[in-house]
Amino acid sequence: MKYFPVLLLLCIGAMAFWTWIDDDAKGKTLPILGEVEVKESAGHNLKDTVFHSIEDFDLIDQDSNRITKDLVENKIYIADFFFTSCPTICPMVKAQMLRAYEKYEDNDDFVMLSHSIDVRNDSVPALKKYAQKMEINTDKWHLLTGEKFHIYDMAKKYFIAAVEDPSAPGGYTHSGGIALVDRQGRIRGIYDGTEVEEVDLLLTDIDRLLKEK
Amino acid sequence: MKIFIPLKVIFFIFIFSFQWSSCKQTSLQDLYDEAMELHDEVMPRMGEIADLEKQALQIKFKLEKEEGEEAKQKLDKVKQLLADLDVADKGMWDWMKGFEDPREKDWTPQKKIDYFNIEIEKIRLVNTQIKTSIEDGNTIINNLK
Repeated sequence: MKYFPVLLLLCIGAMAFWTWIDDDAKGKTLPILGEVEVKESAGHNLKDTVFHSIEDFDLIDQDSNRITKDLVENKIYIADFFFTSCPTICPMVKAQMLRAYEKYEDNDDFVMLSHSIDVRNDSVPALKKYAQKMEINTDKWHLLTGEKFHIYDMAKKYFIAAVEDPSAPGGYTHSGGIALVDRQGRIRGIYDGTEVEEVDLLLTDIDRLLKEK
Repeated sequence: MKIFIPLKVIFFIFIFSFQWSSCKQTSLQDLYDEAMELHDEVMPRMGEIADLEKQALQIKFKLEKEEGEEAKQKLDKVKQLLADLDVADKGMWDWMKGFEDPREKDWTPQKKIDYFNIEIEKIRLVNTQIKTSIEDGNTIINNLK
């Protein structure tokens, strides 16, 4: 009984240490969001788990470069949807996206894709002007335009993981959401780009994903 | 002749002018909020417009291959729906592109208020067009499916 205070202190110390060490050290990984499909291999008794991932896309960036999934092959990237004339949400999200841009500007494993949903007005020159205004390196942060339905379908694919009822009408294109995508094209997190704390978490999660091989 | 203005009067004039300027500021903020509320209510529904346009186009292509009066009537309905959706969609993008926050302009207070009043009416119309075209679109597409 005389050792009880010592044991109690040791327990409290261990609990405090466990709380203090980061999630990487605990071996925790980010969840994979979206639908999971279990496929049975033909002729074998093996089952394969297939996660929701971003399919190929074909868009144009502010420098008139054709941007496809090849650009993000084996890279971690964040994706959002915006438009240059947006009076409310987009400027808030862009200010937060700039934090990610500044932190990973020199990291070759990381890219940023911002899709414009205003295909009427956000032409390549308009996107170029916007990029120049934000003073961003265009190899790192691609402002994209393309065929209208293709872009709206892309938005659904990125954010479907965060929508509880996929058939419900929602503002998936104008929600201020930022999707974090891993090297295999799987969505690993959805963050509210209008909230500083959410973007703090996004930056931490990007660090964690960059460590994943 | 010297005019003596009591300190109390000066104090009240100061307070009154301060209140007046705050009142003007609040009024412009209220007008801005009214415009943005009308915008924010329907902006998240632009995806629905795109979804309806996509479905309407698919039905249009199908109907164009059909013959007969019934198909023609359906085709006319779909074309009208596509036109209405386009007006609503274009209305929103054009409004946002053209809107300038008058609070940041070197305009007279009256000009700022007038500008807001015009823009509120424009976005109110867009708001109605978006809601109506979505409602009509859902009804027409469900009937034609």
